[in-house]
Amino acid sequence: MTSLRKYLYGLIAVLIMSSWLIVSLAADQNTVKVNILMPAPFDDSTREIIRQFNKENQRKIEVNITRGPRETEAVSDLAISSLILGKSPYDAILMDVTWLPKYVEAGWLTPLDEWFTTNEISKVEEGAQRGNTYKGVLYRWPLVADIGMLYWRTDLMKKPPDTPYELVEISKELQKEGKVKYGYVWQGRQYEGLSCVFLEVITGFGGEWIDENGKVQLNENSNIRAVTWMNNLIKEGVTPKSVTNFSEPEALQSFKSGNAAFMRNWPYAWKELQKADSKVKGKVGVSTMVAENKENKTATLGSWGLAITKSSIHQNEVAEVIKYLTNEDSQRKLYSEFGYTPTASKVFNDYADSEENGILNNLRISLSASKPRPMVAAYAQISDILQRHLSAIFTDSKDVKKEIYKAQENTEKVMISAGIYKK
Amino acid sequence: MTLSINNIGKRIKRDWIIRNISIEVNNGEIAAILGPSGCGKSTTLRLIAGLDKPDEGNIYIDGVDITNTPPMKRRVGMVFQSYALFPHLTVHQNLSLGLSVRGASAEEIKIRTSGILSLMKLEEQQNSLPSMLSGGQRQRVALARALLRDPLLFLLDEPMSNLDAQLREDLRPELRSLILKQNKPVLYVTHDQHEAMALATKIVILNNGQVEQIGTPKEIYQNPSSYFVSKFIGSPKINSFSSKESIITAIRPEEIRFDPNGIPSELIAKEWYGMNQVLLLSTKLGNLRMMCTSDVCIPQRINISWDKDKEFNFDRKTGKRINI
Amino acid sequence: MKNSTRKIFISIILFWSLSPLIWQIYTSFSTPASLTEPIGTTLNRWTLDNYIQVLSANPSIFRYITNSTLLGVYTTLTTLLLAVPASYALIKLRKELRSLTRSILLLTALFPYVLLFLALLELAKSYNLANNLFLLSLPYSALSMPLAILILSSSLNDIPIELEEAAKMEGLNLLQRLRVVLLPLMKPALSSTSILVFIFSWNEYPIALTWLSKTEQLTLPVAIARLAGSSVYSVPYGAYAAATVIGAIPLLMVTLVFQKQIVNGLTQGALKG
Repeated sequence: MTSLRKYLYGLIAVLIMSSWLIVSLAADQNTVKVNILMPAPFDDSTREIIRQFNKENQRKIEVNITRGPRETEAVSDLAISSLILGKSPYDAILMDVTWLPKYVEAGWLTPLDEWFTTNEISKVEEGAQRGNTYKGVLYRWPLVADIGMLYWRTDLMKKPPDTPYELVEISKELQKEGKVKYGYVWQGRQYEGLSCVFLEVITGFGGEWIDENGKVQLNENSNIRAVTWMNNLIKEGVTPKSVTNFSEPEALQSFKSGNAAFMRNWPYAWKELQKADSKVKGKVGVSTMVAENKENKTATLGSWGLAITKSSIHQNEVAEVIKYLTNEDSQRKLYSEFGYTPTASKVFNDYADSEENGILNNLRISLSASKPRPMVAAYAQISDILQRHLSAIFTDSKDVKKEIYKAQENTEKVMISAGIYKK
Repeated sequence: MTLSINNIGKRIKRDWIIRNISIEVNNGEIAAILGPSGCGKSTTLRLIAGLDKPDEGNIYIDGVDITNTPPMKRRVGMVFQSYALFPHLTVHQNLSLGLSVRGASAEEIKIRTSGILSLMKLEEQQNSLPSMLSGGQRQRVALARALLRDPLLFLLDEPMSNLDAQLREDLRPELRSLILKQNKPVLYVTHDQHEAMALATKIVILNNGQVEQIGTPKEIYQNPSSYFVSKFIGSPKINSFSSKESIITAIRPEEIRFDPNGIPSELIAKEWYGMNQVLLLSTKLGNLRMMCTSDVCIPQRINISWDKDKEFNFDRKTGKRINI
Repeated sequence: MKNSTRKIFISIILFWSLSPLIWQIYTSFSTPASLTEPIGTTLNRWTLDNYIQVLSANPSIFRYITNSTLLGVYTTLTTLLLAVPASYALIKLRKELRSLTRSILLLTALFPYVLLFLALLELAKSYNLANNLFLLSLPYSALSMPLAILILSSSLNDIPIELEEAAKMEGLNLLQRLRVVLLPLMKPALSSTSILVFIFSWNEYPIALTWLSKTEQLTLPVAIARLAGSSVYSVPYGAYAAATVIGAIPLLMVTLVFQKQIVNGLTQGALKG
C-alpha cells in the first residue's frame, strides 16, 4: 500500500511541477502592446502596413495581429468565446458588418465617437459609412468596403442588363446561340452568401426583409415574386442546378472559365478575373445588380471594419492604430496590391481618371446604392432561417409561397424571443 | 513448523461459505482437503494464502498470527489449479521473477533456477513460453515456482485436475515424494478421493462449509464419522438401507459375501471393475452392490450375508455415526 | 464463388474508405482552376505550389506537426498515467458499484465535449493556462479518460485473476505486479488506447483554437484553419489538401508501426490460456 501512496504523491508532484511550465514573458514596460484579431486573409494583406507602423512607432506601440481562422464564422466564434469571459486578449477585432448589433448588445465594444469626429466620418464614402453604427452610435471603423456586384461579359453584349427580365432574356439567347453554357451564376448554397444574394434580388423587386421599424416583411408579394424569379432561373436552366452548391469560389470558377454570361460576386473577383489563367480576361464589366426599376438597384454591403473591445486597457493607442490602418495610404496599398475596395472618397477621386482605375468607378456607384443586411442582434439566427427555407425551395422544389410564409413565421418567433420585436 | 487454522469462517453478505474450520498441519504432513464442488475447500485455501480475509477465526504459523499478513509477505508456496504461469514470460523468467523481486543476487538466482530446472527436468524448456509446454510440464513449472518461494508451507489447489487420468496416476508418486521431501506443512485441495487417499497423510472432509471428519486415509475409510463421509469415500459406493426407524445402516460392497444361509437376492446386473466384478443385487433391503473377487459364473438367485461388526450405523436426522 | 464475392465486397469497402484520401491527394497536387474543370480540359493540371505554399510558410508546417506530436505525446502519457490506476481500481470495486461506474463513464464518453468548451476556456483564462502545449494536454487527457478507462479496465478484466494472485504469492507489490505482470499483458489495449487518444489530440480543434493563440504554439488543425487565399472568399482547397496530406503522414506511420497491437486491442479477448 505504501508503494501506491508513493505513486500518487509522485503523480501530484508531476502535475504541480508541470504547472510551473507556464511561461510568462516579461513584458517591456514602456511599449504598449496592441493585439488585433483578424481573419487569416487580412493578416496576410495588412502585414506590410503593420510592419511599417511598428517601425514608425518603435518603443511606443507595438501591434500584434492574431491570425484567426480563414472562415468568417469561425473568427466570430473565436472572438465571442473570448469576449464572453470578460477579459478578451484582443484590443481590437476586425469585424464583419453583420456582427455589429450582436456585439454591441452584449456590451463588448467601445463607442468610437471620442476618436472619430463627424469631420472624419464625412471623408468616408457614403455607402461605406453604413453598417458602422448601431442605434445611432459609431462602433466600427471601416477598413475595406465590400459590395455585391453583377459581373457581365463585355464580349457578348454591349451593355449590362438593367432588369431581371433583360438578364434572363440575354442569357437565354446566348445559351441558345451556344456562346455560353449558362446564363447567370450566383451563390445558392445554404450559407450566408445566399442571404446576400437574396437581399439584392428582393430589393430589386421592391421588397424588404426587415423594415426600418424592425418589422419582418418577408411575406410581401414582391419578395415572393423575387424568389420565384430566382427559382425559375434554376428551373429554366439559366442558372446551373449545381448553383445550390455554389459559394463564391465556385461561381467565380464557372465564370472565369467562360461558362456563364453573368455572375454575382464581390469586388475581389475582379482581380482574379484579370489573372493569366482567366478565359475572360479583359472581357468583363461590372455593374450594380438588376432591379425592376432603377431606384431599387442595390448592392448588399459586406465590408470589414475595426472595433475596439471594451476590455482593452489601451484604447487611445488602439484608436491610433486603427487610424493608421485605415488611412488613405493604407487604402491605396490594399486596393492596388490586394484589390480591396477603398472607403475614403479621396481615394476614389484620386483613381477616378487613372489607368489603374479598373472598376473603381462602378464600385463607387454600387457602393452608393449599398444596403446592409438587417441590423439586429439576432441576425445570425434569422439569416439561418431564411437560408433554410430558400434552400428548401431551390433544392427540394418546395412551394415558394409556403416556404416564404414559414420563413416569416419563424423569423417573427426568433425576433420575439430575442426581445427585439413586439407583435 | 505447524500451520494451525483456528475456527475460521468466511461469508458473503449473510451466508457463511465456510465456518468453524480448524485444521492443524505439521511438517511433513500432507493434509488433503476433500469435498464435493462448492463445499468451500478453495475458499479455505484462499484464506490461508491470504488472497481473501476471514470474517472470523485466526491462522497461525508456529503460533504467530498471520491472519492479517498480506499475501506478499506470507511466504506461502502456492500451486494454482490453472497453474497461473505468466504467459508473457519464459519458463526461466517465470521462475526467476519472484527471486529477483525478493532481492536475490544474480548469482543466487542463477544457481537456484538451474538447480530447480534440472530437478524438474525442465532445462530444455527454460526459454519456452508457457503456451508451448505440455500440461505436465506446466505443472512442474508451477511447482518449481512454489518451491523457489522458500515457503513456510505449501498450498496446492487441485494441481492434477488439468491433466488426463493416465498422467495423473503417473505423476502422483513423484509429486508425493517431492513435496514430502520439503518437510513442510502441505495443504492439498482436491475433489478426487483417490488422489487424496494416495497422497495425503491426513484427510479433511469438507461438506457445506463444515468439517465432516479429519483423519488418516485409513481412518476415514474404515471409520467414517458420518453418513456423508461413508458415502463420499469408497468405490464402488457404499450400500445403505434403513434397518430401523431412525437409523441408516451402511455396508461396503467388499464386505458382502456368498452365504447359502444369507439373505436371498436376485442378480440385476453385473459389471467388471478391474479384475473384480461388481454385482447389483435386488434384496428385501433394497438394491445392494457386492464386490465379487472371483471370475465365476454367477447364478440368477444367490444368498448373501456380511459380518454385523462391519456395518456402520448412522442417525437418520443428523447423519452422525452411532453405535448400537 | 464465395471467394470472389468476398473480394468484391472488400474492394467496395476499400474504395469507400480510401476514395476521400485519394481525392485529397489528388487535390493537393492540382491547380485551383483544374479542380472545377472536367479532367482533361486544363493543361496545367498538376502543380507542387500547394506543397510549396505550406512548406515555405513561416513557421512551416513542420513546426505545427512538432507541436501536435508533442501535445499528442503529453496527452497520451498523462492519460495512461491516470487511466491505468483508475482502471485497476475500477475492476476491484464491488460488482454493483463497478457497473454503475462503468455506465457513468460510458455516458461521459458519449457526452459532446464541445459543451464543456466555455468552462474550459474560463479555466484557461483564470489560471493562465493558454499557449502552453503541456497544459493543453490536461483537458485533453481529462476528455480522453472515460474511453481510456473503459478500454483498459475491460482488458484488465480479461486477465485471469490467478495471474495477479500468483504474483502476490511471489511477493510482488502493487507497482511490481502492474509493471511486470499486468501492463505487459495489457499491451494490445494500451496501444489501442494510446492511438485513440493520440488521434483525438491530433485532430482536436475547438479547444486548441481558443487555448492557443501564439503562432509558434499552434497545432496542426488550428494552423490549417488559418491557411488563407487571397481574400475571405477564396478557399485554398489545394493548400488545405496539401497540409492535411502532410499532416496525415505521422499518424499513418504511428498506425503502421503499431498496427498489430491496435488490431489486437480492438478485437480483445485474445488473452486466454
